[in-house]
Amino acid sequence: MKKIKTNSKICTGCSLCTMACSITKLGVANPHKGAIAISRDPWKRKEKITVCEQCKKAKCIEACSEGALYYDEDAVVRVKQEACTKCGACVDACPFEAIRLIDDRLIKCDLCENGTPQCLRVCSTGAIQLLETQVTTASPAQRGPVNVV
Amino acid sequence: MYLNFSTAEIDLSSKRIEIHQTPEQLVRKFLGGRGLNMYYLYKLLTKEMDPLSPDNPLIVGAGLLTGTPAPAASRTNFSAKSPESLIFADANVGGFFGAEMRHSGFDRLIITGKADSPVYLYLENGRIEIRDAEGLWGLNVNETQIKLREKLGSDIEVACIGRSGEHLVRFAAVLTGVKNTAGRGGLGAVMGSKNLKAIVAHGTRDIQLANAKQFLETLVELKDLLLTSKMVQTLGRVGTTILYDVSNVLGTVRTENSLKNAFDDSLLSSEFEKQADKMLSCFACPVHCRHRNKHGGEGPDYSTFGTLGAGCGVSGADVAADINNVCNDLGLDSSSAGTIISWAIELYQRGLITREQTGREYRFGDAELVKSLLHDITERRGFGNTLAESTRAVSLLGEETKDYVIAIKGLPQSDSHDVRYLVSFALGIAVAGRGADHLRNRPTLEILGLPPEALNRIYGTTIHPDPTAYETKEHLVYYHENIYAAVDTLGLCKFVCHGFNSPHMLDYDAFARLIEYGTGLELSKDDLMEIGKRIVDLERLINARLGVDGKYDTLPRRFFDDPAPLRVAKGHKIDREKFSQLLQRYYALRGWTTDGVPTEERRLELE
Ligand code: SF4
Ligand code: SF4
Ligand code: SF4
Repeated sequence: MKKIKTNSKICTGCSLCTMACSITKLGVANPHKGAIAISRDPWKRKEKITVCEQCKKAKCIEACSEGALYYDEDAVVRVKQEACTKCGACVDACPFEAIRLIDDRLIKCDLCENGTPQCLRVCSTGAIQLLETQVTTASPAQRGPVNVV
Repeated sequence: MYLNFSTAEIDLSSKRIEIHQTPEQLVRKFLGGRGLNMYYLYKLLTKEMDPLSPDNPLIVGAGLLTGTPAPAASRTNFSAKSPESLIFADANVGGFFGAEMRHSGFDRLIITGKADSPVYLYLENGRIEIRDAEGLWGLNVNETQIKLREKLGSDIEVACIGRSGEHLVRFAAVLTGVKNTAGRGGLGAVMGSKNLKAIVAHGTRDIQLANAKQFLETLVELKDLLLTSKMVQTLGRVGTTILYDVSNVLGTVRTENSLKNAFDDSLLSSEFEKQADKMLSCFACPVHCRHRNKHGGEGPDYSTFGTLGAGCGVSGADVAADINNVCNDLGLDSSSAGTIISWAIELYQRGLITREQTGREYRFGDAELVKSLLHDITERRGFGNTLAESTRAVSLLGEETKDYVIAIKGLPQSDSHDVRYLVSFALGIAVAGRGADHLRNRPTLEILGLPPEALNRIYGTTIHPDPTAYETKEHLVYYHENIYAAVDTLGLCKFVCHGFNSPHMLDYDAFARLIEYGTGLELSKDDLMEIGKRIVDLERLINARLGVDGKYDTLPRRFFDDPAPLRVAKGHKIDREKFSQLLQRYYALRGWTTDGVPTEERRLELE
């Protein structure tokens, strides 16, 4: 199993991670369009990183009637863009607001399609880590449409 | 080429808004930020113009790379005619406003006129609205932003003034966030004079990059390079407070209005470290030099606690952090505020102002006095009304008082360095275009203890290794001034710029790569240096038109006449004769006349 693990306590709010992600996913620089999002409230004195938790029992997968979301062999939740009808059911279902419709694409963290997570590469504080465990905890049933892809 | 930049001209009197593409040849010549702002100021400023009149253009210009993920690409320049110095004002600010302005579709705003009643500007995805600022006028910096966020959502960025700007205090600043300040020159008063409380940006527009993949790779490489720097690591832990530690050993801390040149250990960086809850970044910045302090605010920086702390003889990092928070919330430029208050204290001690005028005793080391004066200045209450005039107060207090104000060209000195031991620093603040200021040219490399060969290599000539020597020091200021002007056009922070705090970090080559992958524009090191020189020359021409030439490239009297009393710097002062020869060498190096102005040919070339 693989996921991005974050520590908002040490995040300085720079938003480099978000832009690294927007470049990777959309080819443009935009601090509002990454699969990883930073919210800051200087007056409540809080920075918060939001990114997909790669849930073991993913609500987004359950919510999708089109089979556009599925677990890959590392239990990473991935999007099949061509199957996605942009209905937004998964966006509403995600308890973490970690999946969003941006520029007519479903954007969520897929660990840079299993390349090197770009957000992690640009972070200067260690607030972003890659968590990897050998055992895939998701059962084949939970993996959903992975078998039919 | 990705050089589509958009300029909005906004006339608050007639409510007319015109949006057009910034001419590409101008972008090529001046890039953005400070560079393009100066181009417009050169076109628009006149000697007769009252800085607080509707005619004064307030220009808000993001850097060429601001809003992209280039390292520390957070900066924006606010520029206009200064109500404090009456020459040009240009203040560079970080935070998140500039990036958001670009993502809202605008790179530069040119704001003229005066609204009938208080307004704010709302920028969103290519559209601008002038909106009623009811309920905001009368609020200070924090409350203004909190209110706007409650109303418009928490994903906006705001640049605004506090009550000091509304009351036309001549050193009122423009702030964004809790602490980021476009401080110098009284641009907050310019906003106030236009009845403009705030500019709000909200945008989701993309910035297209010429080569996004290479840009990202370059970012990673440069970020890694920056993080190996000891200076960056230290700034990321204690911010600019580290500069005090070095300065206080040398005896180069402006203390008690420069009657002394060193202060106590209560302001060491280790003390400020204890005041911080967390370090924060501006947009896209891997350095994160800003403290979130335990007293409800952010900061302080060296220039703030140097001038309002040591400058006023006030001890204690906790006290300094608290005063810093008050100063920011009121929307005052801390450098001017500290310098002006410490001046008033000395004038009181000398009997040049009296209790009858001030209403109370003024003495160094009185934190409560400093705090209450910040409020009095903001409200223009009692003697605060006089101090709110900054250096203009000389005409109210008598010519004799001028000898004691640490200011040049009408602008109080920005940073807290006492320059009597550091000849190159002295030259720097004397020639800086906007007045006594370190951010235009501070040759920090001189005091880092680098081997002479390293210095010679950087400057391309043999540099006299003694900081108190006059020979060759023109080369230092020249070099730093050019690269800082270049970095200010790009919108990158000086803390990632080669030379500002370290011989490493991003140099012209790094800038060139970021520009190429960002915009497609291919520029050489020489091209970039020439852009820097062009801007420095243009700033000189602006001042010359406003009646300020080389005659004003001088120092506060004290630095020539009174030897520094303490530490390594003890006994040192600046020699008038040698200093004026140094000035002439500097003019010659720039190709200026002996009056310190660019030649006629150069003027024609730049127009
Ligand atoms: S790992 Fe890749 S896809 Fe996931 S948030 Fe980071 S940059 Fe975006
Ligand atoms: S790059 Fe790191 S420090 Fe910067 S916003 Fe992202 S998580 Fe926070
Ligand atoms: S170094 Fe400090 S001031 Fe500069 S951009 Fe980074 S956080 Fe802001």
